Amino acid sequence: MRFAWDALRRRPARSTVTALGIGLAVALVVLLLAVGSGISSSAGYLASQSGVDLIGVSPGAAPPSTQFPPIAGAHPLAQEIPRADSSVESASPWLLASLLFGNSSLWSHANQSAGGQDIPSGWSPSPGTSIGWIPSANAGITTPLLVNGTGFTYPGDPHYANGSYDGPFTHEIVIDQGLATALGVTVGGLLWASPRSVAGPGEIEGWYANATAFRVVGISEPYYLIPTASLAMFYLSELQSLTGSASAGADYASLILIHLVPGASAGAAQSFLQGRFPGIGFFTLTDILGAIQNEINLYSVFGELVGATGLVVATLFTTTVLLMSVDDRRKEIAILRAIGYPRATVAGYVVEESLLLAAFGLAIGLPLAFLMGVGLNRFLSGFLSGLPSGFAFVRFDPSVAASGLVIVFVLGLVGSIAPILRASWIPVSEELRTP
Amino acid sequence: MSERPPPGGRKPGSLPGLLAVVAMAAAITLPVVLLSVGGGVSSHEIARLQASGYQIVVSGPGTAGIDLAHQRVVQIGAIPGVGAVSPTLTMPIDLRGPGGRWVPLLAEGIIPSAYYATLGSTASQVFSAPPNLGDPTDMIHYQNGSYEGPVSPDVLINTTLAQDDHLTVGDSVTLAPAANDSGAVTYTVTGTFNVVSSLFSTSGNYGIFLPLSNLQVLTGLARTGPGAGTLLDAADSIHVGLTGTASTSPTQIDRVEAAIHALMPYYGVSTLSQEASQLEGAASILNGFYLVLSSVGLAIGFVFLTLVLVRRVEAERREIGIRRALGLPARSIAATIVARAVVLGGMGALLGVASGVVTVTLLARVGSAPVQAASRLALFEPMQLIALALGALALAGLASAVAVRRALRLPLPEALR
Repeated sequence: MRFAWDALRRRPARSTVTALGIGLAVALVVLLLAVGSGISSSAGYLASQSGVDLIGVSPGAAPPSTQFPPIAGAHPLAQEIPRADSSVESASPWLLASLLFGNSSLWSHANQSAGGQDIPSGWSPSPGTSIGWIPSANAGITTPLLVNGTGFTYPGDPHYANGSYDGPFTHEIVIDQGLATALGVTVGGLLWASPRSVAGPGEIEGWYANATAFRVVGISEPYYLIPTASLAMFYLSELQSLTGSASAGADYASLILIHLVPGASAGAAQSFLQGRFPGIGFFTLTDILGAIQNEINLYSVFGELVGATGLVVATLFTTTVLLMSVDDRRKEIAILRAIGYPRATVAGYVVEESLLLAAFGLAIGLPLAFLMGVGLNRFLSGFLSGLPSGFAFVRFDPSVAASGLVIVFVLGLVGSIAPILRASWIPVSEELRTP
Repeated sequence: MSERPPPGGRKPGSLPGLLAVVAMAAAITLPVVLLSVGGGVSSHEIARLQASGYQIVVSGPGTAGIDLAHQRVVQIGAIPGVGAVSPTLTMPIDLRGPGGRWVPLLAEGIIPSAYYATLGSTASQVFSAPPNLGDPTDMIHYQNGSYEGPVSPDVLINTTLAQDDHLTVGDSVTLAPAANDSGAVTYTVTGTFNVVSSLFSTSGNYGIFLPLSNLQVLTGLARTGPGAGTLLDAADSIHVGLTGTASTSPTQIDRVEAAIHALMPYYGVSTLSQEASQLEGAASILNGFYLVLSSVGLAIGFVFLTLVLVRRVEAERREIGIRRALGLPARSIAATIVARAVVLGGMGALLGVASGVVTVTLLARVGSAPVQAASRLALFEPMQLIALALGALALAGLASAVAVRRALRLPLPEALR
């Protein structure tokens, strides 16, 4: 190791810029690895935090596509699936829809003026994503945390009334903080919802006439499973009523989220349910995460290309610097060889120098990658609210650090091949004759 | 950098110079690949947009965010200069063919004549003949919002679906909002259409086309609300095509856009040129991102080249000393070093561009499906490649500055000893 230290200390500037070059390349590759690890583990983390073990969709549909037809007969399925398979703790049908929401201020302005002339500029119903569910069917499934209010008060789904849809319409709604802020409503306040859109102030009065009033019974945090600026949650049957599928023949849901009892196998439940309910396609989280991985393949290939280029340049750099170092010490090497040092020992000195340079590169690259990762994580987190604690887009885990170590080791070894050959074949007698 | 000559005054071999060229080439390969593929994909999307037969797009919030679509067609159609107004609605539904298998697919509800008119030059790629879906105006079934007029149960299916499910023109298929017979309707296949590939948009990839009013009824978007009689008549967007010279006149397009915006101020109204500008803006941001990613390799290459050039100066200190002692001007010595740097940088640039082209060609052949699709769209813009090469030469020139400074500051007596 002394030979290697001497070589590096003799050329401090050259050694520093080489270590810096290797460090930059290592930082880039480690950052890319950390992003890959973050995306992969965070997707898995989110999935595991959600409490969802299986997702039921329209047969033949293939996630991660989000556009597939609804599943009919949602309410009975919420009972039948757990009954059919004892490993299912809960099966929760969710209907997703886009609605417009209006508050009482807009309603009052619309009613006070003919043709909406007195409606202040910029006032209009707000768009939001809506989820219809049976609150009691969500056992084990993570739903948005309430920050105000008590949430839905009635058990089950009162309006459904065994498929007659003539039970009491509760008019209860839970909205997230984004929608509450946009509408300026609080718990106990009224808002109106409708799937109809509105093109201008003149249509607002008509829009309210056809919209349904709801009372806010809870305000929740944003929901990471459905990243949207504005979210509203309804009883399933009431959202079905708004969107036109409130009949026993339709009774639509977009998805059925299934939570299994602890220790149950998702694969086994998938096979069983697939046979028992051929009218639904069941996917495990592994299926969905695999499909997402395929979707991002385009980006990962180019990411690998970026990392590989940095490493190739850094390896060539290391090779060149080591070649220079060998040239600088030709006489020393010739003397070592003349007094009996075998070629393997001389080669070992070169490898040591190379690995030492690479280690300095790692010492620069790892903290640099970490700092860049922290910055990138903060930047990306700003785009998605409501993420669960512990979620990270960029993750530095032991496997990332180990990968960085392996990369640096391989870089050091590959970078020393040409210098080893040069050091091993120095003409000893000729070199010793040279003044 | 405190470089001294190697023992024995030996000149370093040409290997470091060669490696520097290879390193520069590798560093330049990356921006060539990223810019050509990224630029190609963006240009493809912009070209697709510009080939459209419409100039203005109206959109509402969320999915199916436009209501009273048939009425809006009449309103917008009355604006002078407007030639075709095409509302479209895309919804996932299920289709069951003669085999009995339910297939989930995306259905596009259209007004046939208006849709065909707004396809522009892509129409011939999609349809071999104008779409045959019965009533070309879709007003007969719509019947002033009652949806009680005679229905044309006609559907067009894409050629891939036709092949996979062995469907031909004249076959009967069942369409349903969900995979059961509730709400199912029997349709007749009246034609097929081709799928136009797109990386980022599903436009043109729809499984089937059917009249807008039919899809609205099928998916519950014709009439809805607590009162059964509430008219919804939903659509996702409305494409507006202008007539004759108005279609190419920015002033006329802006005038029509303003008129539509005045009619429906809560809807998003944008011109194709605005959408193309947005795409171009996004492409510029991506180009910047690609260059930042490439900068790490280029920075290492720059330091690498600097080191090699300084090393050459140290190895040639005696020659440089003699030339200076003979009275050669400093600029002559500097020019030799700069020329050497430019040659190395130039070779690296040339190799890098060639290697970038080869890499993209390889990716287009052996990459995964999305990588192949993106790589096949790669666009090698000469100006961009020249700019990259000039950038490499500039870096090489900059790298030579340290070596020139070192050469001109050599203490003559020491160099000549």
